[in-house]
Amino acid sequence: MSTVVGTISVLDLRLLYVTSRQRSVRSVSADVLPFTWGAFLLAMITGLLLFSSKATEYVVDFPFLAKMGVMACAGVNMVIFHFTTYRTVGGWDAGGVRPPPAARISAFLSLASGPW
Amino acid sequence: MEQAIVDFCTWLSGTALSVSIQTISWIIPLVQSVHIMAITVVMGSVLMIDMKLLGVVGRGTPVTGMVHRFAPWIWTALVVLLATGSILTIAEPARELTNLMFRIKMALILVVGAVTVVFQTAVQRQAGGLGRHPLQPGRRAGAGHRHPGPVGRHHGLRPVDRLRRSRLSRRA
Repeated sequence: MSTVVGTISVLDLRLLYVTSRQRSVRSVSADVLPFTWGAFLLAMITGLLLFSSKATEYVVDFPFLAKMGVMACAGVNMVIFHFTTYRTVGGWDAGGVRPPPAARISAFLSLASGPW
Repeated sequence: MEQAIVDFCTWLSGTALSVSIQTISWIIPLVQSVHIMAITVVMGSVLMIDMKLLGVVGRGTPVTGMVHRFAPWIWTALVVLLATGSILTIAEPARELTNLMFRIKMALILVVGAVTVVFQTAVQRQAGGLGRHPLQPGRRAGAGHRHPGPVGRHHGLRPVDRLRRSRLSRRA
């Protein structure tokens, strides 16, 4: 779980143009996303196992439902970013270029969903 | 020794500080959340540096660049971890200090901290001692991505070899 958040934050901060400013967005993305996805898969499997141990308690637990809600929103955010905003990456990929507002908003939302 | 630790835990958990952390309901969840977020920062940063050393990520970026980018995050997060961890320990000293796993964890942290200091010092020395590294893109804006391929005398080596080789050549 910490690897998921830790690695995606690296990309989020690049999209927000806070860190790694001189590196291209695509190379940062290629560096971190395999780890994000690998770790996410692990988190999914272990999370499902933990859930199955106390499923009846979890489904009525408000914090748990809120967490699932935030994760769903983060997923939607990612899909929107990937299929609309990221299409134009060629124009703002290079180091030293500030990504467009849409990318920065997505990155901010992604960062904000991290602690959940 | 063991008895002294137990006595210390009993004393600490009776102090006003410990009692107030235990009784104010939001302190422990908040501190624990911050602790976990700091672990996240360390994990992500260390992973990026380690993968760079293994040659998996960061083609076109020198090891020094990777270390400079992530080292401040690691050390800042470690300070946060120490602070939040101390608060959690003060709240429940016996749960931590008498726990074998906790002791192993602390010992491992000391070891890995020492390894990190040695490694970062070596990287620092290389950055200073050899002047600009053959792969170092320099501080000019946008220079990094225009030099993707390895150039110079360490052509074709993995970063870990390059570090090793430069250390050997300095000794010779």
